[in-house]
Amino acid sequence: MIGRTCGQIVAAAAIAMIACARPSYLGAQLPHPCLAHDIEGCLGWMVERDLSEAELDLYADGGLRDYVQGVAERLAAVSSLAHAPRIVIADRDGTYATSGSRIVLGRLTIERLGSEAELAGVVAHELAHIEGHHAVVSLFGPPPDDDWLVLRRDAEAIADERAVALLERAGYAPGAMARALRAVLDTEDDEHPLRADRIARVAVMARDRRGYEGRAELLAHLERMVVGRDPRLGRRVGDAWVVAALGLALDLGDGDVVREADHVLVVRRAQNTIAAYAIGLPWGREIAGALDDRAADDRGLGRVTFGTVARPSERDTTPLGKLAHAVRNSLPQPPVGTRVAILERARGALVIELGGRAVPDLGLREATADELAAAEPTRIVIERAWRAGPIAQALVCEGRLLDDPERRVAAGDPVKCADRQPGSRELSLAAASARTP
Amino acid sequence: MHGVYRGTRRAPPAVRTVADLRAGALLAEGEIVRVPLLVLAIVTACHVPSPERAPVAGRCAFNRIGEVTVTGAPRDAVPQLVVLEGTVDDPERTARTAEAATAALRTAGHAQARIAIARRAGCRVDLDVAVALGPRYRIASIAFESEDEFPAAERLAAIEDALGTVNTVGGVYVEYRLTRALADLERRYRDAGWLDARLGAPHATYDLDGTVAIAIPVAAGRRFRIASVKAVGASPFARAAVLQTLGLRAGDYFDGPSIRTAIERARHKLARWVELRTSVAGDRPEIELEAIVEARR
Repeated sequence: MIGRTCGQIVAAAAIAMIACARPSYLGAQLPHPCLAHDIEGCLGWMVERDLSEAELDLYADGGLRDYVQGVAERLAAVSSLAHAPRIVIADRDGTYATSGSRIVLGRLTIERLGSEAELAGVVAHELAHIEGHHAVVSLFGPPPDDDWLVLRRDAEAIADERAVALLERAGYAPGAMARALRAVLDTEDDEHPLRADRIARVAVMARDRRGYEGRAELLAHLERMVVGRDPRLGRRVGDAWVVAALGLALDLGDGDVVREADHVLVVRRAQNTIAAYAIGLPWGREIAGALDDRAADDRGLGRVTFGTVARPSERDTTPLGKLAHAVRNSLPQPPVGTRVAILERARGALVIELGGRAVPDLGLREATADELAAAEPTRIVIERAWRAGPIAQALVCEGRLLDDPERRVAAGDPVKCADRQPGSRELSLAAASARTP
Repeated sequence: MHGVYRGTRRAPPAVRTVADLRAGALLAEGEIVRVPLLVLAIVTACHVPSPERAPVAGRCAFNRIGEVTVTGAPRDAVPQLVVLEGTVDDPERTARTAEAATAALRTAGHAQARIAIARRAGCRVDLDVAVALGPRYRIASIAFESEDEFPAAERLAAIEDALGTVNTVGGVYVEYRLTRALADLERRYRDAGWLDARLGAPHATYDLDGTVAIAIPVAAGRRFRIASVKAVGASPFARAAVLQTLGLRAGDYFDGPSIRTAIERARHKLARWVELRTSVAGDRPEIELEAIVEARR
């Protein structure tokens, strides 16, 4: 009897384990929305996972995220949404509403803003896209054509105008919307109304209505935030390419022809070309696991897998497989047929694409403390204006001024500055280079 | 593009007048829409200030949309219109938005959904949105009209969309997404050896019980096999190595992905540029493959 019961328990446990063996995405089990036909919720989760586990592009500052989330909750309370969207801060420029009620806010966008009301304007614009289901229109709508572009431009104009209304209802100064647009828009494209028209329209809507600005509150939360491109994903320091996020350095020789683009290093060495860039560890392992003619070893720096990027042999035609395939296509990855080496580190992986017939000596090593220090990013510091008037006349920053120089401040008001002057990094790099053996 | 509503072709246009809705019994006689006019017809009225709604300043620099009232469906059925509250009143834009909202309802299965908008204009413009959802159609069957051997499950999986909620039995029918999926499926037919395959436009038959049956005509044609595999160029030794690495055999069905993988394998393994030329062998359903091997430089 006992034996039979045990057998039943073992069988039940086995069935439960099989049932619990959920499919995974970038090292994590798929959440409930992906298994419950909630395509928006599933896609939103994948987008967030891509940022953190594939692109290393999640800006991990819990305090700042919670602060922006609070702003989103105040705006959502006066909107038609039942719940506030989830705020995700990306370590790059650009802000967008994505599926699954998520707003991806670029750190470089936040950097340009001067008050909480302006931040609320940017969040309110994206929140309006979520309210109006505009993201669904663009993601799953028909193929883009002229009519689609008209609808896109409508959606952008509606989101601007709705943002002014939400700012008013939430008690923020509605005039902040025009300032926010002025600060963050710098290019024109077919999908948006003209920049000048957008700004003029929201300025007319706001007129002279007053409300909460919250300049000091925003600036207090920006203290120590990284400014500009984060060099820890790849920066030249003296005669090495340093990926501080992974604690790695790649030595560059005299004969090397070096080109840097964003966080990608391209080196022409003898007859070979090498391209190197950092990605998330789960994504690196996935790419390494699918290589043709795979060979792996541990060279002290971590596990290295060599091989050739294979064409996906079997296409997963399940609905989930198709979605994951579409999302994966947008991730950083070497092209099919490329020979690669993938080095796994604790906080990510380095992809090295090997062009040419020979495998050159890569010159990879642990980065030195000086190199890591030289690759530290510039950060925001908040200084105080010593007199009233335009910020440009107050001369408060020891480093670079990050605020609008024409903004008028009172004595003692906070002002946004960088913690170093332009050029000071080059000095520190030269010093690091001199110290590097 | 061959939707048939049991005797009437195609769904009606997205935005209709209230009279149309009543005529189609989609809006009950008792339901009140205060200004029964087409959205596009009321362009100038918004410039007439309404004394009780005029802003404190007393003049209308521009008109904003005040309240959006939705009848016939929950407010969250038409979020595209609800979000207009507080925005600048632009009747043409509102009409386009109503069309987008109607399209979204149809994508959600309400194939006969219609929206009518009436405006109460002053300095603040209120919108009365009358929604006639109609039945929510579910796909009862999907039939590929063909006797070919393409795996049936793979064919259905190829057109299924949106995590199993669209273009699958039990899901909703979205025509443009099916058309897009069929173009992809046609490529896969050709990749699998049916080089002349043609997939026709889907035919949808709506039933009064709220179901829709989809029929997809398929003209698969003959399935092609590999007639021969030859190599030219470089040395006899190199040609033999390329043929061995390709691993393609005469008599096998033509298989595009396998052939592409074989070419890439040969290029990488032998570090040579290899190109493949294909030609149809006469009037037989056979393909001749010729690997052009680059001499090593």
